[in-house]
Amino acid sequence: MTGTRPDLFDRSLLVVSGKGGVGKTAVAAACARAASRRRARVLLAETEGREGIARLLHVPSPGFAERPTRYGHAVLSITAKAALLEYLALFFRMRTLSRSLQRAKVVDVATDAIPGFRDVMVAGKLYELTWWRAGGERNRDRLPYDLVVVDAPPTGQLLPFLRSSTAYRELIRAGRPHRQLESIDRLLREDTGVVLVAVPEEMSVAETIEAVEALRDAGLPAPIVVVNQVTPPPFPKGVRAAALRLEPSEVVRMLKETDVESDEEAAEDVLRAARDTHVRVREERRYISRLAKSAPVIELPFLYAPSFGPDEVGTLSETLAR
Amino acid sequence: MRVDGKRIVVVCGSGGVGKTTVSAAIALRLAEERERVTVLAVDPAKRLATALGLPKTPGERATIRVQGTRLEAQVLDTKRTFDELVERHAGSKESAQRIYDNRFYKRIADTLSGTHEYMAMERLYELATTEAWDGIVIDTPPTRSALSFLDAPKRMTDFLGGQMLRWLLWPYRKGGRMGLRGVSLGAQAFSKTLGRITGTELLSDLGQFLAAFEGMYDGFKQRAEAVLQLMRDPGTGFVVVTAPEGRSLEEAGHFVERLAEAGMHLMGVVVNRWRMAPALTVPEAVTAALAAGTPSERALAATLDLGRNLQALERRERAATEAFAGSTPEVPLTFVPQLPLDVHDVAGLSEIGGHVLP
Repeated sequence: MTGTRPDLFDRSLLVVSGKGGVGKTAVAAACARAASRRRARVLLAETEGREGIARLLHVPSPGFAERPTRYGHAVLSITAKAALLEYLALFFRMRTLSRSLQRAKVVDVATDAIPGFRDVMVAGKLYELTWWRAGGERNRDRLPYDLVVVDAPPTGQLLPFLRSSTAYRELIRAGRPHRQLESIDRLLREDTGVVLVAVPEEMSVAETIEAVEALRDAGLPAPIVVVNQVTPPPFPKGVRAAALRLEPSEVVRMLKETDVESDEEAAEDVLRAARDTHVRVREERRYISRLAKSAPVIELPFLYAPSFGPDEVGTLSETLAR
Repeated sequence: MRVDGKRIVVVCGSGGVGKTTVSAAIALRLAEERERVTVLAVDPAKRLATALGLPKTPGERATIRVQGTRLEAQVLDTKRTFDELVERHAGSKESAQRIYDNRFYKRIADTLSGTHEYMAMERLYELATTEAWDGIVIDTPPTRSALSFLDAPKRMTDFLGGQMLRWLLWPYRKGGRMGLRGVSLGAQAFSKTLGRITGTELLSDLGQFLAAFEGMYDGFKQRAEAVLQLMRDPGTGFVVVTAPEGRSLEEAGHFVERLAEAGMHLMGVVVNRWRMAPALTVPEAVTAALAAGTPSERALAATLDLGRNLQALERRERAATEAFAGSTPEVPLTFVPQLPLDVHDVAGLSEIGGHVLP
């Protein structure tokens, strides 16, 4: 990447999206941890209720209540249903009614079936956590967050999510909901950063470039692409040529000089693995340079760790904080 | 894994595990033994599609020829499949057109979860019942969870025939009967608020959409039943694809469980992109010493370090896979090694096919 790195953490919201299987939750968690070194109140929120955060960070499942963690940021799991019930209780004094509706499963049907309803409810909750709290006087017990990092819907559903408040603002033309939707819309357009997580593979790269263009065409915030799981180059500078020239017999001989017994078959095996990795790295470079033409790119290394948990998230967060 | 005379092979799994590649590889293997084989792909990678000669436009068909074998490939067109389904059940051109024009219907695939999954099954049913194939391999849409795939037909008919939704939307239905029994004050108040929040236009669209579907509901329901029957047929087998990684294996476990509950036949689980680490182990002190030596020795040190890293990775993947195998001991596992590059040609597919169906 050329030029200065864009600041990931200078907005109120950081929406992290990407296709399934690219490590979206891990990147979102790493962003939250890196941000919490610089900003006081940081929240990591998931929106799909799959308990991805709990599993990754080894913390109790957060539910619809903000919970502190030992990583410097709080966690929260947002569901459209809980957000709707909270909204009705907060603004329409429909606490009793909303309870009976919940029992009747009406809320499930509404959030499931009405286009964009789920999205606008989640967006509304993100607004509540940030701007609304910051401007509210009545809610001294609810402190606003400096930054909410959102483990957001996958790329395919990102655009409808970011545009849901615009769509609803056009449908509802008056009253408090209209004003609130206007604020949500401004929050999403003016005070939100978008991260698209990709892996250096053909399919992921093609889809990410499409998503960058779609965001640009829709006049939404320009995204930063985080390329996750980038294979580290197997050979340090200066020895690559020597490494590619190594013969199994040489390996056996050099190891024998250090009193390690081996055979040519085992040597050939490890040499092949290194050459394959080298080829892979070169292919990944091509994919990454293709991505870099469409958006600023930050790379995160593939980690050869015996497990993937809170410590590995910490390692990734150090790269992001740099 | 063995095909055992299955005519239909459904390939499923969570997103990004290589489902399309595995389905194409299985289809290629089947085509070596059978006359008429087709593979139905869903959203294939561009380079894979180009290399194989898959059709560029969804809904179209193409013939792939590989060294004397021949198979047909097609790419799922969700919208067109849904349109055809509507056309079949609508009764008249006018009522079909009313549905096509509905704003809600136009966005149904984006908004109603499970639509892609259901349409994939619908298309498969069409192929299986109206055309003479000796083998049909179907790739499935990347699902958020295993459950949404199997639940799709039921969700769809539940939604279209949903009492709850009708009850909620009755004020917005054209010609909705006044004084519908069972509409409580609470629902009316909620309906009103919902109208205030979502816009009455949208709800009235949805109401009209449901009204248009009213006459088709029974046909839809029967069809969904028939699709489920086909899925349960002993001639239909499921292959679950997974990556050797915790989250993906967990999803695979859900799949296996749900398939068994639903009385469907699992052929096996494919653990894709299995990374085999080189076995050579060298003490770290030795590599540290080599790392300070001649260029050749430094190169060897880097190579051995990579070997050690790959071994750590293999341990992580092996532990995850063994935990999975332990919890589902009766399920046959097939390992497909990671190839150095993404698969995007027939040679790569043949290699994978050889691992999946030896």
